Amino acid sequence: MRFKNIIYVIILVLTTIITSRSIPALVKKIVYESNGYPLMYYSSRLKELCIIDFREMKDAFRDVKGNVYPRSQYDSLLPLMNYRQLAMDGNLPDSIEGHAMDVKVLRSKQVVYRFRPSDVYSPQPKMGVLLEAMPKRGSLSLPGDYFRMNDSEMVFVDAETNSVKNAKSKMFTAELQKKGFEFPAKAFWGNPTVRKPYEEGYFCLDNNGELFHVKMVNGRPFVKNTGVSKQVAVKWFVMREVSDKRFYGYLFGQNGELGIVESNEDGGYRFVKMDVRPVDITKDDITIMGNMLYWTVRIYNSEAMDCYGLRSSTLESLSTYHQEKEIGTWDRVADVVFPVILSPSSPDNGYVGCYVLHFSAFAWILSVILALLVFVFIRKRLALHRSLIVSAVVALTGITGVIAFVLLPKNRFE
Amino acid sequence: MNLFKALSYKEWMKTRKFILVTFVLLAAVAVYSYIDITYAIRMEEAVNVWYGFIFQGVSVSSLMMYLIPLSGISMAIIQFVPEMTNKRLKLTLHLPAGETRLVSAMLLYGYGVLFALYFACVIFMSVIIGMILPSEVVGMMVLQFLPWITAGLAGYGFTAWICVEPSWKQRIFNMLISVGLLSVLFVSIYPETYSDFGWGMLLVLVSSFVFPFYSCVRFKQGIQ
Amino acid sequence: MEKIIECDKITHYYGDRLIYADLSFDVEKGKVLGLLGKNGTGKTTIINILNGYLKPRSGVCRLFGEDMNNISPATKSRVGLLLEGHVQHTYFNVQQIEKFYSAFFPKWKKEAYYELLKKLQVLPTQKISTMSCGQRSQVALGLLFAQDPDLLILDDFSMGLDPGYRRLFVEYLKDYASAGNKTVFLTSHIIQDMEMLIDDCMIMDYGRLLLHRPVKEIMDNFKRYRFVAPGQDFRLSAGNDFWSPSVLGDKWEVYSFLNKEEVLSKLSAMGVKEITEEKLSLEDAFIGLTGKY
Repeated sequence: MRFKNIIYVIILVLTTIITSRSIPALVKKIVYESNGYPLMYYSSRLKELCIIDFREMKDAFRDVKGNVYPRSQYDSLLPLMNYRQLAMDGNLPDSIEGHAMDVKVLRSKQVVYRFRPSDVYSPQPKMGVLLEAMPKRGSLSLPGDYFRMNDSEMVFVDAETNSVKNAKSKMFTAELQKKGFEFPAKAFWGNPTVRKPYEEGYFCLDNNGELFHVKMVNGRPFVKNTGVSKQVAVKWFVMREVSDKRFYGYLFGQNGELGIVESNEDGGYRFVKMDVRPVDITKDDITIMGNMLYWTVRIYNSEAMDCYGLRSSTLESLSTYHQEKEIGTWDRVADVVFPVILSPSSPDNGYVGCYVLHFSAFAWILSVILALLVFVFIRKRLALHRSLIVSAVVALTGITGVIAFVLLPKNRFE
Repeated sequence: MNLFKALSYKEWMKTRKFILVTFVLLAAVAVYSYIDITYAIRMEEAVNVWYGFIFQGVSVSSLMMYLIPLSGISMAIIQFVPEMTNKRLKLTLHLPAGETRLVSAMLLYGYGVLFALYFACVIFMSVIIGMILPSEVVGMMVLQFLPWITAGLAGYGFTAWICVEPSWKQRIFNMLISVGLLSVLFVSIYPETYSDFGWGMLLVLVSSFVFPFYSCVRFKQGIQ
Repeated sequence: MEKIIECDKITHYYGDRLIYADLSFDVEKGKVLGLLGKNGTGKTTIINILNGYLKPRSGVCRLFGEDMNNISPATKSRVGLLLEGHVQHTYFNVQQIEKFYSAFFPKWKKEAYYELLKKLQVLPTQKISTMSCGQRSQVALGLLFAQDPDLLILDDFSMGLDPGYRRLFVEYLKDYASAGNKTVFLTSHIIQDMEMLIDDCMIMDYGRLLLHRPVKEIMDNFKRYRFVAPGQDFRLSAGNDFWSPSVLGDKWEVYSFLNKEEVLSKLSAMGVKEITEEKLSLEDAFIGLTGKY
């Protein structure tokens, strides 16, 4: 059959793709040791960032200047982190930097946020839900309809009847148009859950890149252009209703800006940029731990971590720390054995694709040598063109190519 | 002579009961999904049921994840195991037509029947689910079905590849490779996660059509 | 004469065991050739090689002049194939299987099939899977006649058949072959059947083709000779003239293509006084050529 050789090559290539996924995954399961980044926190007592890794140092922790502190002082040196424990032990100080240490106030000022690139690069909800922002009974509840943003209007669909609520849709669309919203919407971001302290609705990005605040108050639409796009070109927004109502959520700019959207004194909106390095939302993970006085922000990826201690009120940087990723056993093995590792999934992306998780030039050079050995070995039994193709595959993929070749059907008389 | 029509008579005789069973099962699972959702709506209110679909990636019909791929694999077993009994494939290959055309006709019959069944199922489900859930959720359901349908069709081709392979040792290897290729289609069941992977699904599908011809070559070489 | 089947230097091994080396033969148009041999001498193997279902170590076969690996559809329709065990698609019934095959052959002769099946006394709706071996063989034969091929290749047509069916098969085949100047290439274990049917005979031995001659020539010339050993030290071994010598007590038997006078003259040189000549059936001749176990 004419296409016999072409089909053989197709089988070989596809099998190699599979082995380039499964063999490294198996080896990783065998050798991988966790080598993440340590917990970081800005100490209000020491006025410095602290590195807390009790796996590395069991009875101590240190600050970024290198000073070591005993574990027994963990609570007292990090009071804003451990205020609950201190309160339980009766050791809560009266005040810090002139601010009273009231447990209720402290709790309302706590901020915790974790960002992963897959939050953005994954299927986003195609509909939203606007809860009543001023509920009569005090607690939030689902309104019974869901909205979609069409090319030219905002449409509400009643869940019980699966039909459009024309009046409500027209009302909201009209208000949007009146406030200058240009359809079609590029995106809309909200926090569709009833388990939060209050409702601030959605932030919608119109066709011009203007960020609008949309919510439902007493059944009527509230629409306002935040004006934030004058300060920063909006790429992504995450709605977070914080207990102290200081800000609406986190904003990511087109040029790597990271910050929050606060309400200002005139009832307007203000973007406050965090004093950190530019963020690449396709690669960087972010954790934010904030308290009444200071915010500790870690921005990290597979290469390094940058940590910042920010003043809570202005988000200006008071201390920074940079740490390269430790090379673990798995990294060493992969650099030698696997020139390329493929996977249909990626930690940074929720979509299925063909991801190259790893590439090692050193392993690739070793693979070329392996390919030469393989060529010499199989040339005795296989035709020239087939030997060349198999060797080429091994040169590109290393041992996973050899395993793929072994799995493939052999001709007779080989 | 219309080769496809003539050969399809044999394939139909082998598979007609199976096709009927699969049709009934697909319809039953579709209707059951509808019943299940309307039950949930009565128990928990529509607004809460919609919430799960829109925001939490709840599947409209998770049973389809098993039924569709298994039906594809079973179709190949029912079509090709009888061909391998007593090496009856020799009779088929001896028919007065090119061997590539003969094998293509057998495979296209299977792909065609399965595609028709799955397509009908998707249309049917879109209609009945569209009555109670918004179009966005129906769209998510269709996108969620795509990798499973690809797994059904590709599973058919790979199973044919395994059945026609004459040597048992190589069959085991073929199974390993097939499992590896099909597993790519089950990496995530969250709806819409495969929307960028159309080319990948197509590649798996095309390879499943192409591989069985290689087993046929080995069969003709008389490999044991 | 047109050569329908040609085999040129076929060499094949199963693992390390040699089946044949440089096997070459032809079958001319209109001949009925029987392939005889003990189990394991490669009869089914050569049928598989001929039809392109087995790739030999080296050598090539041709059917109607076409290489066995690339037989054109037109040629395939001229070749009728009966696989060992009368293998057929068992999920069909009698009617359906005829309907299936008829779609592939423009010159399909439906009457030929049903005429043969009248003898079977089966309903058209009977499934092939519920038939006995003999009934299945009739169905297979009926399908072949309906196809009306120019070359029939039959692998062990008598397997599993009782004498009645075997006789029926042989008569029909002979009739079919002679009526249309068809070529037949067949193998069988049951040599009595072959005797009535075949024109030429190929006898396989382990690793080689023993002889390829018209049956008439063998039947006319190959005889068995019996004699008494002249003394206790008498020994006779196989050679060019004498085939499969064996002894029971002092009674010897040996086979030869030579006539009685020539045999007597050779044996009397060794001291033998008297010999008896016996004519052979094809089966006796086969045993004489290949030896008992």
